[in-house]
Amino acid sequence: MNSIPEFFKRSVEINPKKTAVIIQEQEYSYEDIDEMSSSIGQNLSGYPENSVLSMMLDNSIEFIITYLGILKSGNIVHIIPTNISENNLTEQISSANPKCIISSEQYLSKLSKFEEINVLDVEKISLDKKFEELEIETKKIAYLIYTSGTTGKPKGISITHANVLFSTKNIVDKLKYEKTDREILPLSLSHSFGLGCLHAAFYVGSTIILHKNSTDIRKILESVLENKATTLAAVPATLSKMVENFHDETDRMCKDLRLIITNSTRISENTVKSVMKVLRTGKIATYYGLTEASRSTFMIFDEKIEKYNSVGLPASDVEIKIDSKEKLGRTGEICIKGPNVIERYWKNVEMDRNIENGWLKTSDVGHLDDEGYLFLDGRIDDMINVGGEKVMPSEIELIVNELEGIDETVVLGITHDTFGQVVKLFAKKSKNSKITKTDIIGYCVKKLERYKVPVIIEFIDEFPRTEYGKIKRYELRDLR
Amino acid sequence: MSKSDNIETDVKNIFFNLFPDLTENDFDWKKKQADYEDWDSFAQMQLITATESKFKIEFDIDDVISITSADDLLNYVKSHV
Repeated sequence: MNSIPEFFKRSVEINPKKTAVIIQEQEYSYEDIDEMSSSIGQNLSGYPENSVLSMMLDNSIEFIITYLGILKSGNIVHIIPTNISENNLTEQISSANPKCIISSEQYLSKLSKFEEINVLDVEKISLDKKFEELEIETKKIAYLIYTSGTTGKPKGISITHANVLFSTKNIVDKLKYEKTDREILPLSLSHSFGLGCLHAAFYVGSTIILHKNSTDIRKILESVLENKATTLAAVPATLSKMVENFHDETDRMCKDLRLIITNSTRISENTVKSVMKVLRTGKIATYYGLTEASRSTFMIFDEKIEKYNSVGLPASDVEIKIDSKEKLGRTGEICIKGPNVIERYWKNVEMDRNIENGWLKTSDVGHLDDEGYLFLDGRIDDMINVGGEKVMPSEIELIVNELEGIDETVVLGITHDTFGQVVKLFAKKSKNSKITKTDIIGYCVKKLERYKVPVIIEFIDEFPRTEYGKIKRYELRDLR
Repeated sequence: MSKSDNIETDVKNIFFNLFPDLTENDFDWKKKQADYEDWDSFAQMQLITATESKFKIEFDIDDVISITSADDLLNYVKSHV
């Protein structure tokens, strides 16, 4: 198999009438999606092959058929998240230079400023055209996603069909996805976590129950039960809310799931253990990956709970090394090599310098233990330099998180006249917690070198987060 | 216990918290910063943060430098609470 349309087609041929996607109680079979996406493909086949065609759609059947339709037409999908800011949208369109943008009525006004680009309302695209399947080269770019991650600066990442095939096969093999699976997916398809889950489902011919968003926890839980789901994909923040605020419902509705998969944002030991208790026989797993190196490691917590802080072992045929040039002791920059790694960024020579001989420099800092398990320690940009001593925020965060009465913490460096930088801690207290700054400092003094002990502590009600649940550290920097 | 005694106990506790090697026998209100092995610039900043948090007061930058003993800190707190 060479391409996304090809593995999707295989599932269509094996079981055309099988339900592929359920959205708001509406069911769509593999055959339905195949026909609708082919019609979209035919409508777009007038554009020269390898043109960039943008789409800006919410989680919906339109998203899925447009995505597949563009791929089937031999073009490159540029996926724009619907919650994109005005500035970011302008930057992305300028960089991607698409031939058209496909969207829905509610976003047309946001797109009207791009006068030179053909903006199509997905509802108005005719769905009755006949389409002849193209053969798609595996090395061809399938889609383009811009990520700002948690640093704020967007970069275009072009993913080939070969990248997707490799990562999808790894997901399926490692997490044992089968055609009998029914996955609850309350994740945006505009990001690689959600999109990767969709690919895995289409690869094995299983069923996805797609939610518009991850904010309505009760709805997600009810959906697990109503749809007799076997798996759930959710960000750590959703899982924490489930076990903390809806413990009884989670216990009742999720007990028969065979798998909960989450992603590489740090997940607390308490959440992991609470989810493990709920699952009876099922497993909880996470992975580490960037959009440019999807699913590079997998961690199945049930197999190694004592390493709950780890993101697991490298995926098959993926190599991971730690570049310790920065003299960070056992930690260093995580570098990844494998068929999941992109060849180059989208029109970005500066970023291309981060890929050397197939090794992607991730800007993530981490370490490997004796058994080869990878641990994330932070971002290179987050490293604090206190009078020449390098400090990784995660070391301090983990210590403070041990304290009863602390829910979550973020450590940043702040400018200091004498030391260059000193440590500032932002902490979110647990409900009814009476913990004081003095308690925190006292505990840190016992556990850390003096220069690592926070000199400023600020209690915060909620951390600013990305849609994916990751803390926006760059926004906290503005609070410094 | 009077309010003043309470403040003394709290200030003392901050010192014991921040300098885990300090024992009741070693503690002396007049003992100077230089006589503490681990009272460095970081400890100074942490001492101020802990005190500000405990007594809900704020230090002026000049006053921070003038705190060189437990007694200095106690007097500062007493005059600002």
